[in-house]
Amino acid sequence: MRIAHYLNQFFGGIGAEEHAGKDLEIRDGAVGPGKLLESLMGDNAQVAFTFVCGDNYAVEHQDELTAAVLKKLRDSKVDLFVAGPCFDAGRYGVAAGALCRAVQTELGISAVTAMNEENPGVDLYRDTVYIVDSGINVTKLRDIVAKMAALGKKLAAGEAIGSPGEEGYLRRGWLRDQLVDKSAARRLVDMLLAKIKREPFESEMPATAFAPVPIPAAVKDLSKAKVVLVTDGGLVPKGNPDRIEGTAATRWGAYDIKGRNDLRAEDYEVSHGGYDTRFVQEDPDRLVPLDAMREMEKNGVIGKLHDEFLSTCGRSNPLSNTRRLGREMVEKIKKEGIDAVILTST
Amino acid sequence: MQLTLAPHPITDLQFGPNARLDGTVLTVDVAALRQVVLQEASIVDVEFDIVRPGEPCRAGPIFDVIEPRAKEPGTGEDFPGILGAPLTAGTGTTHVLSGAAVSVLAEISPDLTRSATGRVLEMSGAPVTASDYAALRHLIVIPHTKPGLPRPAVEKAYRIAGLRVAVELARSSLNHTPATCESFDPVGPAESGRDGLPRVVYVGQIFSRQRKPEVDEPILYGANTEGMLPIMLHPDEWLDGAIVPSLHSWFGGTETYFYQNHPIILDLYRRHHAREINFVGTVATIAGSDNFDRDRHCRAAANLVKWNLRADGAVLSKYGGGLPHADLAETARLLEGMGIRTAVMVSDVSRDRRIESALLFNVPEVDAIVYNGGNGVRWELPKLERIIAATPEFTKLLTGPLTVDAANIVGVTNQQGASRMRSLVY
Amino acid sequence: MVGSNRVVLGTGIVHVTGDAKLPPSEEKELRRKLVQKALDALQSNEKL
Repeated sequence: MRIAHYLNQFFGGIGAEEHAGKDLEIRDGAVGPGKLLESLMGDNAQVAFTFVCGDNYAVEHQDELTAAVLKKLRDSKVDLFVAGPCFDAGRYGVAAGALCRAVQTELGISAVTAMNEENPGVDLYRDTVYIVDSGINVTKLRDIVAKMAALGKKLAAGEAIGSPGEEGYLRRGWLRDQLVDKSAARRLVDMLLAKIKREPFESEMPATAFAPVPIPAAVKDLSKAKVVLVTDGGLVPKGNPDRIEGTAATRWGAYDIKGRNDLRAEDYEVSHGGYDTRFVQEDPDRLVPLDAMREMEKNGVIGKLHDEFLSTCGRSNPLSNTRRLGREMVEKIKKEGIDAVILTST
Repeated sequence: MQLTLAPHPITDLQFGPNARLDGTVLTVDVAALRQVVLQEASIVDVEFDIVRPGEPCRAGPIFDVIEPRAKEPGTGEDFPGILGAPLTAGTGTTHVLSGAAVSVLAEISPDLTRSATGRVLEMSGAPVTASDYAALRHLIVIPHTKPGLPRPAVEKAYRIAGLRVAVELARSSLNHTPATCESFDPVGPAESGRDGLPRVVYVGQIFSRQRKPEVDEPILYGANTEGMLPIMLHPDEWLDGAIVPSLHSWFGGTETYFYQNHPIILDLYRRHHAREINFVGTVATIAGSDNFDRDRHCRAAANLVKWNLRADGAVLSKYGGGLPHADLAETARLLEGMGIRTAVMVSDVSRDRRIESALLFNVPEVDAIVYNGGNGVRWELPKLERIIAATPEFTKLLTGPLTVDAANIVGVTNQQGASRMRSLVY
Repeated sequence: MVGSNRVVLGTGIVHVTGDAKLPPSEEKELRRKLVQKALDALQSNEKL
């Protein structure tokens, strides 16, 4: 079996975040985890070539990257396209998902990737692409690649794919009907009794729809409105006094900007493991646009800029955290009589 | 309340001049049955047929499936409020021809927007494992109504005729000793000796105000449920003829047979007998006609469960189409808020087989959901020689080969808990 | 994404409201424009 593999700059051995802008490279043979993939596949499986691309480049040039990958695959014969594993790297996951889908749709080549359930690539691609559940722990790489190999083999061979639990992929959100032994009535009473006894039970259908947030009414008169800047890019005062974590943050902070027209590099740092923070470190206005907002305030475009900006880190942050963080921020925002929020997000 | 069921197992039905039960073989007297059916003025002619498990034959569209049952004389009314006085169902002795069924055909499809064939009874081939009805011996009633009658009158005639035939058949067993006798343990909100066991209630919708009921449409003790608020019923009332489905069989997935053999109620009884629960009662409710109506019903039902039945847990089922899911979820939500744990059973509304289309509600507390699937299954039914239908058009339509959705094989997708077709998440 | 009704596209991940490739004055102008876009969105009832 001939395999094409897609890796980011880190797994491709180029380097870490500072190389995220690296453009696409196509190398012969297996690279990094691709070698593990080959050995776990067995049966003379070969990674024919590896695409290596920086995460930022991939997201910012998605169309070009996709075209280049498709072109290479059109010209070569491969049986399977593997991307990642991406774990909780969001840009990597989004790129991997996009490429897998394109490869499947445009070329009819089977594809498989792997990422953590909270990876933004999952929501976008789970229904069309097989995404192995990798969790966030990179030390489990071997296990994950093994699952990708097993699933990839089945996909390439056109075999029937089992349930998410059996094969290790994130549920894709498709229903398949099956005759079972127990009547619905029996299953219903079983489930109730488990719930009453506080025993674990599995609902037959998870609610996946999020209640839509109705769009709040537009600000009537911006020139009288009080506006606050909020960010999930992890900008914090030097020293990170609130110890906001750079991953799955459980805390947020409100930081004084009274009288300031500009955010100065020496006053701030960035607690966020998910992007190259150099540029924001050089000029924090690139994340929290205080200078521009101050001008708006001076020119009367807005009524008042609130004296603090609110900050947390959005990286790999499960809803169980972010829902709470959001609610807490809202509490404060309401208390301060703020009319509108500009949220900047990386 | 003490109901005793006296089952007489039936292994075969056959036609003959005198209705009688010999061991497990029931002889069916069509001349006598004809007289019974023609009591309905709307029906001008009728035929009968018998189908057995495994026979390569097909009948449809099915209006209703009824288990032949008859009350021991003096111990109650058969289908009270419909065939006789509205005495309380669920007392005395009821003789049951188990293993048999009376299936009434309709002359036109109940809802052409859903299916040309209506629901089909298929006795052989792939669908049989999915429907309990394929394992029964059916007396098929093929009615011919007066042309030009309004639809509700026709359907009412089907209903009454079917119930009468089912009772008449079962009367052959009245002087016979039943195989066993099954008495139900007393259940109720004040039964003693059940301390420490979780108090469990069944809340079942019996109608949906997606439709307005006909003036004389019999549903609950013959009443049409118009203006009705939720009511507490003893479980045996469900089992012993107090409730029949709406005349509008496009509501889908509800037959008299599974009121008589209500899977949820029977399972709750099983747990009650095994001393796992204290089955304290049931509530029959209606899915509302609008949001206001819904709130009214859901609150009333929840209040009965909380304050009158004092339940610890409730299982809930729905009736009708999509909208009643909102009532189901709202009732469950209110119960959870009152500290009562719930599990709900929904029907398949996912047309695109996507999980995001599967649930019509998103209520975090309503997190125990049984999902009756089926929208993704269809069967290729072969051409058959023997088709039982009321019109030549239907005979032609059902001859096959034809593709039929699972929901259109009677008994496969059932809202009373009989279904074994699940939708698994992939 | 989930829950966002008004979304304005920034200039890349590493400098949402900036662009390190631009000379400072042009970068500031870019930032002004982005912020104005955001303020416009706040005054409109259209989902972006």
